[in-house]
Amino acid sequence: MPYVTEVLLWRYRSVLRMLVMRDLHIKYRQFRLGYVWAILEPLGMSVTMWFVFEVLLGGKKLGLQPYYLFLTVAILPWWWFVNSISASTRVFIGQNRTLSVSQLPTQFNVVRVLVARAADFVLSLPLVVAAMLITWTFPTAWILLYPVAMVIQFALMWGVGLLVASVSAMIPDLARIIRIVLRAAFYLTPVLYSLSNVPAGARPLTYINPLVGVLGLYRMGWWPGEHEGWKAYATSFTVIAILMVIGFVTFRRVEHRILKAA
Amino acid sequence: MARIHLTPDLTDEIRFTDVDLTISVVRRRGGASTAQRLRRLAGDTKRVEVPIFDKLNLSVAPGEAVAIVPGSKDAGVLEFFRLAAGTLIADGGAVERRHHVIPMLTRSGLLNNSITVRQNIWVGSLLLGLTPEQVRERLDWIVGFAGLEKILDTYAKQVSPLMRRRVVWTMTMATYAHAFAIQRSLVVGDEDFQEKCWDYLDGLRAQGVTFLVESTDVMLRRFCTRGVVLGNGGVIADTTVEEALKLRRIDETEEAMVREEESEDEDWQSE
Repeated sequence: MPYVTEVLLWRYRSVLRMLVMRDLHIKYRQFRLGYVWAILEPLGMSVTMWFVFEVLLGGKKLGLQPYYLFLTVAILPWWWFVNSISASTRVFIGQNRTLSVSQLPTQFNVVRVLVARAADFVLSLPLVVAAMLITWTFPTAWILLYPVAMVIQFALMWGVGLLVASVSAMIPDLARIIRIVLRAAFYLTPVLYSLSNVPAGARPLTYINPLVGVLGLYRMGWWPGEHEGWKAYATSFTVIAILMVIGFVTFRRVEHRILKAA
Repeated sequence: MARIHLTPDLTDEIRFTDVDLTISVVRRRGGASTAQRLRRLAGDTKRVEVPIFDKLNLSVAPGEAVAIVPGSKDAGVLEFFRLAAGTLIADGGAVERRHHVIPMLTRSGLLNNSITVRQNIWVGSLLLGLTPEQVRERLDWIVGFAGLEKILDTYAKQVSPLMRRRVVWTMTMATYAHAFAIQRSLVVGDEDFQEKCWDYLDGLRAQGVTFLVESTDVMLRRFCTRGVVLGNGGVIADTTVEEALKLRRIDETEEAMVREEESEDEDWQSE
């Protein structure tokens, strides 16, 4: 048990909180609009997507109705995911001189970034409320799974974050490749559309995407029937567990090399 | 996954057992062939694996002040300090320590120019392993000792190099550690402040705090009780400070340290 709490950085939670507050403060201080940017960026993205796919190309119905809410509920977690992963690729690249003196666990550097992005995500949640009010659609009791989805998504990003931070520290080119992959992944993940738009035969294949299960949980409050049955969730969450193990193991194996490069 | 393991029942303060370490260094491409020249022109570099330690063995007893002196090329003083502090992991062998060994290294990046001195003290102290409660308690001591009242809320980039080193020095000491690995001037600042540092360090040594130090000859003679010469992959000599200093490799003497500190000052000006 002490090992588990050590790995999960429980002992360092107060230090983590302090450092993340500082990071956020520094990040937002440079902008006139400050924290408003945490909302404006995803808002811009969701409005653009809504305009293109509902207004301009609205002939073939994508996703479930009301579309703007459907889109917003998924685009915020996606935004969180992309920001976290692309930030993770940069953690050990370039000048990270403090690694030569820091007494904190090395993976702290990754988790610090992930938690800061999670805070951004929470700050952007008013957008979901706004979308609910605009479309006048209110959730069922399944909305209680929303925070559960956040926890699972954080676990996913912890694993993937450690993995991409490790591999991009070893081979900097991979950092760029990962960013390209993320762009492609946007269209392979049911953010803009629902899995019901995918031919039934291909559907089980998409369950491998860990975000399918996560986004399903986020949307459960409004569209409980989006994924019929539990298979989508079981497959996605198994993949998340596997990714976490891979992330932790990879990180452990290259940690000494990351430290040497500092 | 904690990087730094403590062995509380160790009889020594720090013990290196058969430590192996190789680091990879980026070097400029040599060679006169057209191919090599073109690669050099294109900015291509090569990675070389440099062996630093090969079965290094050393024990440091509690309360010792050990001068660490480079005795050959690639003697690995910085790597030695980082291994002691646990910020580098040996390829083979074991580094055991009884308490946390707090490092004070040149170019540690401990001061971030884009935040204020107060924020730097917070972040830096947390990185050095203090809890937020401890930082809160010790902030007044740090400010008082280093005389930071006036500059506490100015940005670190506006602070003079002399003052910056005072901040880092005091911040490091405020960890109240049982062991320190110091790779830079043992004392910093103007003459008055240096006196203050000496008094403080002498006090710590009297209390049985352990020190590993790389510094100028004068400071090592004044402070250390034992001299260890590193080089050729291990310990060349484990002797008195005076004997050790005779074996110091010429190009890594005070000059090099002065250069290091000066280049830090240049950083400050250019930023």
